Formats: sequence, structure tokens, C-alpha cells
Amino acid sequence: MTATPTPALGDSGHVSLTLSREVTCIRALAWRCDLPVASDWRALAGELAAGGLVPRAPLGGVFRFSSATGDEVLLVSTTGRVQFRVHYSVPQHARKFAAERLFQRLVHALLRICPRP
Amino acid sequence: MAIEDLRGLFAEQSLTFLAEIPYVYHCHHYNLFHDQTIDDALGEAEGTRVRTAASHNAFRELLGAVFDKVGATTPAERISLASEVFAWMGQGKLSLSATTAGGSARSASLHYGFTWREKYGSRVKRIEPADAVAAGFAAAATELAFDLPSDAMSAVEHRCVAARDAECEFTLTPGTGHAAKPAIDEAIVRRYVVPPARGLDEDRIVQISTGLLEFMRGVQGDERGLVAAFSVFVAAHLPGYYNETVYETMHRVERTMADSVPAIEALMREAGQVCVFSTFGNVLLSPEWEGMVGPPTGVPTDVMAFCTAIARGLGFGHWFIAEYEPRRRLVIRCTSTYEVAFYRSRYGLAKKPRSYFVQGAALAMMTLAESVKWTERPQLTNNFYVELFRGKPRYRVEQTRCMMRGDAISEYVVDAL
Repeated sequence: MTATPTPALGDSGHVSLTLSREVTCIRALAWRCDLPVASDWRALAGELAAGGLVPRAPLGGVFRFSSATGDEVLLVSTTGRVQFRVHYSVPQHARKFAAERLFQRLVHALLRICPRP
Repeated sequence: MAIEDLRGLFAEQSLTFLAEIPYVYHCHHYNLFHDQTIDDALGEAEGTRVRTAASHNAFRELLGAVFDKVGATTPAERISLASEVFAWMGQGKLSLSATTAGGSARSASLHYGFTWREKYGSRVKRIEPADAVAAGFAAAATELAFDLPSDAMSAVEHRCVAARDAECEFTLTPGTGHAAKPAIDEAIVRRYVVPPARGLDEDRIVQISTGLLEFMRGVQGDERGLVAAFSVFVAAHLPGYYNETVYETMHRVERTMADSVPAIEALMREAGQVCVFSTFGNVLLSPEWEGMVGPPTGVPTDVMAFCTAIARGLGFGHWFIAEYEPRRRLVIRCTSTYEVAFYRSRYGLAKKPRSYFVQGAALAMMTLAESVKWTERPQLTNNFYVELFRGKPRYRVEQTRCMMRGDAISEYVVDAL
């Protein structure tokens, strides 16, 4: 498997984001997408918090958030990696959908800091 | 006093303590494999008995020390605190209801049962319960709550989440009791270490392991008493459990089934491999690691340094890289491990090298450094494990020196075949 390249901002200022299964030993609990390293991470973190995710203490260059149901979103500002961790109590068949809901929260936060022209 | 305030760190030896009793972190892959190894060696019934007894003894040591430190004196206080400690460790949330006449315990979220179902439940039907550790804990907590002697209480799990029951259930019944062995605490551990030595890449290893130790200080069980971290379930666990199960099993096999010794030793080594592949591998691929250290480079010397730092960060002792020639030779040495003090205190000097866990771990570190394409986001699946470790062997490991045997240091040499 080859690494997904970190997306770069296109001429239009848009990026294409893909939600994919993360390297993981627990079935379908971890998912990822990649943002440009040049993203405004502090602004994104602020919007995620404003959108209802609870910020936890940052770790190195990692912004960490928890949802009310125990899911987590981690932003690695130095590499652009975003990881969505679905809580282990979510049944396996529902984990993909839970990950998609977290992904939507990220997309909505991005749209708020980078509104469409 | 908060449980986290009971933690102690013997920093120069990378050994961690809770109420002065040693503890380490292991993931569910290792824990399940370890227990399976004991059962493979002894059979399920005897394996369960040995595992339950080891947990019982280990948790008596821990809980006794915790109760002393905190000043918990009443049965209610002690049972409540014991359950809190168990959940804090990531072992699960157990409801315990007991008197001197026995009692019961139950849980829907125990580290072993829950993770066994998560890992194997969709493919394998299990009949035997998986939670000998929780059974031993329940018996120990009940005895200490009522100031009963060791083995005055026994616990048996008769329903288990791993066997598709909704909850794990345990029955506690009174037993005969006997005097407990002295606890192996920090003072004893300190007798069995030698001054730490510097190895290759030492400054970087110290920096990373210090960061990881600090990160692990923030790790504790959630509302279900479980810890999901680094894409695995992690638990703080007692070396007394691992050591008693391994060495009681090996000694018994040596006494009664001498022909099986090489096969069982190989399984014990494989548990170390599983740990490095699953725990170390998932740590290296985690966002937390990426944030603290950077994304994996795939450079073998980086992987070797990172694995050594992870071993120290999880409280495995002062491992260092004495020699490393990529694709040819690795020499790991240890001035402390979580095995030595237990073995020397309980059994005296070993007649041969006995550190099976580090033997397997060293072999796996060489394999991870040389054969995994870290920059290509490897999937740490069972198939990949089989491909790496069960095909044609690429390396062999020999423990050339062993502190359990009385050598001045422990040394593990991995050579290319």
C-alpha cells in the first residue's frame, strides 16, 4: 500500500478530502484524512471546539478533541494527518457511519474557516 | 490520595511502580497471546488455575500496598478502592459484592474478555472464560478487605463476554488459606539492577522515552475501566502476573514434559515478538507518536532507537543498543528488566538464560527495523505478522548473558541467518 500524498491547496484554494480506514488493530475504529500542512490549525481547532467537540490538552503538535459519546479527533499539525477514532463501544457495523459523522464535523469546521467563494 | 499519586518512577532504570509495586503497560494482543501460551503449555484447566493463582498473588501484593499507603481500613473502603485501582489500570470495571462467606462479581467490560471478543469474537467460538486476571483480583480484593489470609477466598468465572455472555460473572467461595509470600516491591527490585549504561543513540532514546513515560502518566481507564490508545487496548499490569505464569509453567514443563521445553520456550519468546509487533508497531504508527517524534522514516537505525525508547517508556526496564549492524547483527543489553527481581527472589539463580520476553522482543525489533516498509503505512494485521515471523526465518536470537543466572548484565544477540 502506498501512502496517500498530503494534499496541497489547488489553484482554486480547494482540496479534495477522502475518508479512509486507518492502520489499526481494532476493527474499523480508526479512520483518517489528510489536510495540507499549511492549513490554519489553530483556526480549525477553534472551529471544532465551537462545533461541540471538547478540546483536550495538546500533545506536541497534536490537537486532540473528544465528542460527547467518547469518539476522538486528532489533528497532527506537523504532517497534516487527521485521525478519527470511533469509540470501541460502537458496534462494528456502525463504526464507519460514526467515522463519517466525525468527518462531516471536520468538513463543516473547514467550511467555516474557508467559506466557499 | 488519588491513585495517580501512588505512582513511582525509578527513572534511570525505566521501571515504574504503583504503591511501590512494579507495573508495566502491555496491549491486548500481548496479553491474550501470553494467556494462550500458558494454556497451550499446561492445558486449559491447569492453565486457568495457574493464571488465576498468579493474578491472585500479584493483586494481593498490589492491593495490600495500596491499602497501606492510602490508609483504607474498612471492608467497604477497601473493596471500593480495589475496584477503582482495577479500573484505573485499564483492567475493567468490576462490581464486587462479598463477605467473609464469599460473594460474587460481575462486569461487562474486562480487558481480557472484552478484547478477546473484539479480536476473535466474529471468527472463533469460545467456551472457556477469559478473565483469570479478574478472578484472581476479585479473590485478592475480598481477602484483603476482610483481613483474610492468602487463598482464603477463591474465585471462578462462570459467564464471560468472550463466550458471548452479556456480562462476565464470578463466584467467590471460601478456601483454606495460607501465608502469603513476601511482596516483590521497589526495594527488592532495586537490589537486582546494575548501574545503567549508555548505548547507541542514547541521547535520542532518553529524550523520546522520557516523553513517552510522561504521556503514559496521563493514561488511565475510562468509564468502563478500559484504555483504548495507540489503536490497541492497553492495560497497566503487574509483572508478578506475567512472571509467575511464565516461570511456574516453564518449571513444570521442565519437570514433567522435558521434550516439550524447546517448543514452550519458543512460544514464550513469541509472546515478546507479538508485543513488539502489535504494541510497538501501533505506537510507531499512531498520531501521538507522529506529533511527539515525527512520522516513521523507515530508517532502520531510527526504528531500533524508537523501539528501545518504547520499551523504556512502557516501564520494561533499561534496555540499550550495544551493537547494531543493519541486516546483520543486533545486540541489546539490559541493566534491568521486569523479570529479574521476581525470578531471583522466588527461585534463586536460574540455570540458564530465562528472559524469554526480551529474547522475542529483540528478534522482533530486528525484523521491524529491516523488513517493514514504514513509510508505506503498513497494516499490522495477523496476515502481516505471519508473513514476517512464520515464514523462512531471517534472524536468530540467543540470550548470551542473563541477570537471572547471575551474570552482570543481560544480553541478547540477534544474527542474520
